[in-house]
Amino acid sequence: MNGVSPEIVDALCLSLEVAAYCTLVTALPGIAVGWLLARCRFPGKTAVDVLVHVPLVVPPVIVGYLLLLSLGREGWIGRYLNEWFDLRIAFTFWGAVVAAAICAFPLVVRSVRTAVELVDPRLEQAAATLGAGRLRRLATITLPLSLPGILAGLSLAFARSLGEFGATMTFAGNMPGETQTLSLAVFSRMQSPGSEATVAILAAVSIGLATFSLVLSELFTRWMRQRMAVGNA
Amino acid sequence: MLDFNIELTRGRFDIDISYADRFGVLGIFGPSGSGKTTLLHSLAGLLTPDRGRIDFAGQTLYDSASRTNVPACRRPVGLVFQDHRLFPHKTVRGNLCYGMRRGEESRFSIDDISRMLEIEHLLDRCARKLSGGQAARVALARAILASPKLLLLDEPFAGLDIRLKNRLLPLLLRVRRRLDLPMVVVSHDFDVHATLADRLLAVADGRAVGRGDIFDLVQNPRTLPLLDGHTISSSLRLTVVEHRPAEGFTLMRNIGRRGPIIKTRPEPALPVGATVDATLPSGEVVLALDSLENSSMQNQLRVKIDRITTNAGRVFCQLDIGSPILAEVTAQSADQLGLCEGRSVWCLFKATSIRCHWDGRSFDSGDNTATSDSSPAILCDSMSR
Repeated sequence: MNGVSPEIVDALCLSLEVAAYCTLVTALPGIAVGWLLARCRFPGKTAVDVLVHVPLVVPPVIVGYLLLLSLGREGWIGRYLNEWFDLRIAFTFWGAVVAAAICAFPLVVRSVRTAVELVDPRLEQAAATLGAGRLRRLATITLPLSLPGILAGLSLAFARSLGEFGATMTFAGNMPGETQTLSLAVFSRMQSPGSEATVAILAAVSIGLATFSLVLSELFTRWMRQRMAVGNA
Repeated sequence: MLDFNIELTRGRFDIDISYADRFGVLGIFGPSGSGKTTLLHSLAGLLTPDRGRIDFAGQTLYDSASRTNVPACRRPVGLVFQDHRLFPHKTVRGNLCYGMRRGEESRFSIDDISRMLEIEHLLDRCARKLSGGQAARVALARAILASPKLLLLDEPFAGLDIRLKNRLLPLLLRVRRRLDLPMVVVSHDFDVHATLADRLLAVADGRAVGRGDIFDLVQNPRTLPLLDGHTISSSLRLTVVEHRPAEGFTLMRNIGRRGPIIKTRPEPALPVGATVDATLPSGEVVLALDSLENSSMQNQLRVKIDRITTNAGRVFCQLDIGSPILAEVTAQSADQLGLCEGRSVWCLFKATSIRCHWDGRSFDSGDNTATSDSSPAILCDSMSR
């Protein structure tokens, strides 16, 4: 197995790291937006809904391109980040995280939204009559009851970011050890002849990881369904 | 003082109900879809009326004129929902603690209230594993433990079979007697009101059609039809005087030693001197011009007719047996006996017609265990979700 080079291990570790940060970064805003869409009525809700889901349907390369336009060194926002905070995102590790997070974000929002919608609002009413304000109701009733759905969404985000390719390639580049994640490593190896074995191993690892995250997500979803089925009986 | 005027339109249905009275237990009754639950939800702050005002104990909870609307979580009002709404991810204890304000002295303790409602053995159980009757008691306990100054109950016996209702009603009465908590009870079951309520508000099609006590309601041509098919009972508060097991009855008397001795079925479990809540169905009271020497009517009391009401072909006589009771007779009987206000008649009823509630138990059948069930396992089996 001379195909298992330190580069492969690096790519694997980097992928896991990017996916972990991506999951962490999307968690809070994903829960907030999911809850907002499920429980609140406000002007421009449809626009927010569409905007959140855009990365799901737009080709990832375009997402990467838009990220470059906005967060790149000369981008609308990136320029100021660079000038004021000396912060560079494009073509760094954090660029890979941001690219993966943007693509995974709609999945988190969708899961959270569905989970929160499944929580019986009458329970929140009951909590209100027991003296719980909006925040306490959210923290003690809505979030705990939708927790399995939130976890399912986060594992889906983890799986999605492991498979991220187009946006990462465009926005973060393909630098071994810094931004070359598993899928980028597979792509690079496929270009060079004689690396079939390595590609096969990388593909297998990739499939294994993604399947694991999906199974996890499915288990959480099942837990959610059980919880709701009994809770509403 | 509870004083409200609620106007609210939902689609083609509109509600316009006003009420003002001192504290106590207000029973709201009326047919399904008459706006009872909407009214309760407005009082609790879960619904905002279109117009009106809600004042409670000197505090304005809602006033459309001054745009005051205290949110539900800051109203001193508790609500026991028809569908219980226990938090499924918490234990019974977790549910009970939920409304207890942190750092604030609660008026009641979990121990006391759980004992009062007989749910101590359920405290560590998961809320979603409770049967209907247990969930109803936990929901009631949870609302009480939030220390509301006004407790609203929405159809507290909905979905419970007669046996469970007989189990919960005396517990509710125990809460009423021991905690001195103003309540508003919504129920379409008149039996509940006869047992619990001081005053009644009859609601139909989103309007208040009558108010007062049962004596007022039977006189009101708009409220009497609402009572069709319901047992109209008078409520009494009696003191246990003496047990006569050999003769097969217990002697009781109106509290304050007013009126004559009343015989009830033997209830040795009731301590002498105890005050019991009792109901007497108006249809089981017989009026006669003479006493019946040879009959099974254990109670034969010489009384005066205070008032006669003829309403929709039904005749109700109000009598004083230490406290007022109703007797329903047919128009023909009233005619034949020459019944009129001020006339002395014999009021007859069987000892078994009196139904007593004392300290969380009903005494209305020979076998007390039927209603004062101490075995939760039997309760579980008998209830389907």
